[in-house]
Amino acid sequence: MTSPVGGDARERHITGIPISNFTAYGLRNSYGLRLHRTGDRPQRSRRVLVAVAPSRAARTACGHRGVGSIEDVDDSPSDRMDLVRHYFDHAATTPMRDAALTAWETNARRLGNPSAIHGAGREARSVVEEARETVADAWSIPPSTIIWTSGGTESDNLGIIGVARARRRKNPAATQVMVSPIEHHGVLDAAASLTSEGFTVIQMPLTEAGIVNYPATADLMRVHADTLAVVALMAVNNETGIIQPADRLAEVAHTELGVPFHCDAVQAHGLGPALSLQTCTAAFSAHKIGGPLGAGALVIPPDTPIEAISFGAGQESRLRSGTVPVPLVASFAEAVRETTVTESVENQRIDGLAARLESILTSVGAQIIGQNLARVGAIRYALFPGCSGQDLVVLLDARGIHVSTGSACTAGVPQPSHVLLAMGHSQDEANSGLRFSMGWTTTHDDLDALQAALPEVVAIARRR
Amino acid sequence: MARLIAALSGGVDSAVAAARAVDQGHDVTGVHLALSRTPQTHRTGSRGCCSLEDANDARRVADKLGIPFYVWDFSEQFHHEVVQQFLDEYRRGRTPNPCLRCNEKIKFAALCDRAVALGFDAVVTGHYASVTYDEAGRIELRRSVDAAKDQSYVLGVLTSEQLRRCVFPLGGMVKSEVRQEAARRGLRVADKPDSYDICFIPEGDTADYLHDKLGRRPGDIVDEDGTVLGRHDGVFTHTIGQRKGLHLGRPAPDGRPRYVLRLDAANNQVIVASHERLKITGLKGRDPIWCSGSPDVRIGQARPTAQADGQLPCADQPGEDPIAAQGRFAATVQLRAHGDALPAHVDYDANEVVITLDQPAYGIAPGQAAVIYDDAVVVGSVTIDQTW
Repeated sequence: MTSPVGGDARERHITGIPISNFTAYGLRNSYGLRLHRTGDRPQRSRRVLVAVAPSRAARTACGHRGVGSIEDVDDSPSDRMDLVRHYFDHAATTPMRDAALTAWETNARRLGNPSAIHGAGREARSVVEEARETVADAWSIPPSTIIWTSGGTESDNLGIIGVARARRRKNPAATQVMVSPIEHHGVLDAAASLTSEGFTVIQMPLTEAGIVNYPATADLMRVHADTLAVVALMAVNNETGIIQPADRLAEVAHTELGVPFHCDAVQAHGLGPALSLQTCTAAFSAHKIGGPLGAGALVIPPDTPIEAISFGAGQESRLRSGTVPVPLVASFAEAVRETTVTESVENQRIDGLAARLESILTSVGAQIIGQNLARVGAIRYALFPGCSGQDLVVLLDARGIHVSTGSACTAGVPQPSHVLLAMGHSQDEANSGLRFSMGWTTTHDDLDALQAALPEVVAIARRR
Repeated sequence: MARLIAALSGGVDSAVAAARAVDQGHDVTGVHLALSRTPQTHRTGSRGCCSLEDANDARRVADKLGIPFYVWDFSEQFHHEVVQQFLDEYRRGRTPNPCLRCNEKIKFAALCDRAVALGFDAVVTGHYASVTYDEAGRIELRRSVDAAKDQSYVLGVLTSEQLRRCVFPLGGMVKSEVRQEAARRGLRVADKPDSYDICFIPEGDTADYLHDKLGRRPGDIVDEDGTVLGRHDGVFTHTIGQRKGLHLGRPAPDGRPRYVLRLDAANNQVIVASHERLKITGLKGRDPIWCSGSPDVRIGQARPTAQADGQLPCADQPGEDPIAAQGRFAATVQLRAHGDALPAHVDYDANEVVITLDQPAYGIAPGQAAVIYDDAVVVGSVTIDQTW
């Protein structure tokens, strides 16, 4: 079925931008509808694009404008289910922003390796550096302190392993790594890998509420100051959304103790000055903020001891090798720019959605984690007593609502969340949890759908 | 249209079974069972059905069929119900069949229960067997038309209630047809090798695995008089009927080979004897399972022709006749996964089944299942406790 469409179904985000700009195929999985341009872009990849709300109202709205065409289903198996999608997994990945997409497209066929010295190479390099400066301006740091990586995990690995090794090289007594037990596996497992090189890992103490205990951790850092190679704490927990005292601990480590501090800031972008990027290395990921998959950054303050952990031509300040992916970093930079520009308005909007989300969740008896703690609006973790989180995922999925158990997956097997376990919850409680995460495309339509589906779904899951 | 869970192992059979269910217009959801907390990969020597690669193959089948796909974690139940039981049985000198146990406790119990609780009607698998229903809605489990691949033996432990939630679309096909159909459908698993090994045993080395888990418990190999003939390093690495690998050094007085007759776990002895002593003519076991309703009611009666195309459960049909309190009937009995069907007479009551073989059988171990057939129909099964 095709019908002419166009316009601004997601008015909050795309007002005034012609629909033909929305040529992202990364978006398809987020929505039930797909748009394609009429005529000019024959390849399938080009026509799989959407930036249209999944609601019927939006479909109708699209039908009245007229720039492209709209398809419900066709050749791709995943489209067989003609389902409207309501996506609550933005913390896993969020759709690409318009500006990011345009930047990607502009550079996707750009000639030249940015390391080459000829004209094409210089132009490519110029795009890379332009992107670096864009990000540096948004974050108010010098461009030279940013290196491009493949994403959050690589940035975390470099910020932990690269720093710990370099620090011990200078100071052989520095053989300890301190991390919080609620870190992402990109940090936890990087730290654990260092034990095979003779490092030991110290865990940060948590408060009873399940947040990193600032005074106790600061004291522990002081006790071990001479032997610490690196300390790591995330800015915002990716499962619970709880804001951790990373900024204050980084200050202690940097200013008072002279110990390197690494911050996984992957979930913290767009949240204002939650973190001073002068006092720690900080990991960022493009696709969590509306940039492309496969790009990330590590911010490295000038005085940080750090060495490469993978080897090659050393394109990125001799710390990271591999040809810099020009379209990805250009696109990442645009996502950073757009996120930063819209930050204050968008955060307010998300906070409003979060308040409603909480009331929907509590109305079905769910228990929200960290309700009295400072959290980002975009992430809520809820326990559904008597239910299995995995069952809830399956039941909601069948109704077009995408949530996650919020935990790390091995071969797609959801494990009980190590974050919840570390926060003192039982295995059963941890298995009953769901993470709801929202982002720039989330609207009240999505919450309407959730509100309609949740009571029945919880009742089925509870009966089991 | 029914709502079905397709259990996708990552192999060719379950892939084609799921594809056929989709073709029939059912609402199918693919599920891969994660049976190990630390799944192996081909790099670590897995050759079973539970490696990371298998999970990925299963996912790709679901993608190809355009059905939702999930990995469901049954590793805890699998560890308790299958692996632990496997080790306990060996420790007691018995010979368990873990695949049968997995069908009984995991695939057609835990998986089925979860599927039904979540609103599904039945589970589709790629087993080589058929479930059919007669006009009165009575169920029958039948052998596959592919005698070499027939898996009715390992399904004989299922109750009729469990079987009513099963759909086996491959019962009327032979393996080569299944592979051809997979290739025709463009499924990459079309020529994936069959797995024969026990999935949780690395490299397929059962003895090594048992030593690793149960340790080494050296003891004597004796004849029936108690004369010590050799040493073993754990009764559990021997099976009844085994001849090779005993390293007995000296031959029997009559010069004929000796076989493992019995495993005496309590005294840590392996007892050997001549082949003639392995002969059994009777066996018994407790808690029989009657897969296809009351055992002797329909024995020998004309049965409707099997429609081995994955018939759907007849939930609204009346179902089985009540099971008679006791009885006796003639049947055939299969004592191993790929053994012959032996003519026998079966006496049963609510608790116990005694099977008298018309001709002797050799080397039958307690712990194995005796599955009772009426021609191609599985009547029921019992786990062997005692032989004579």
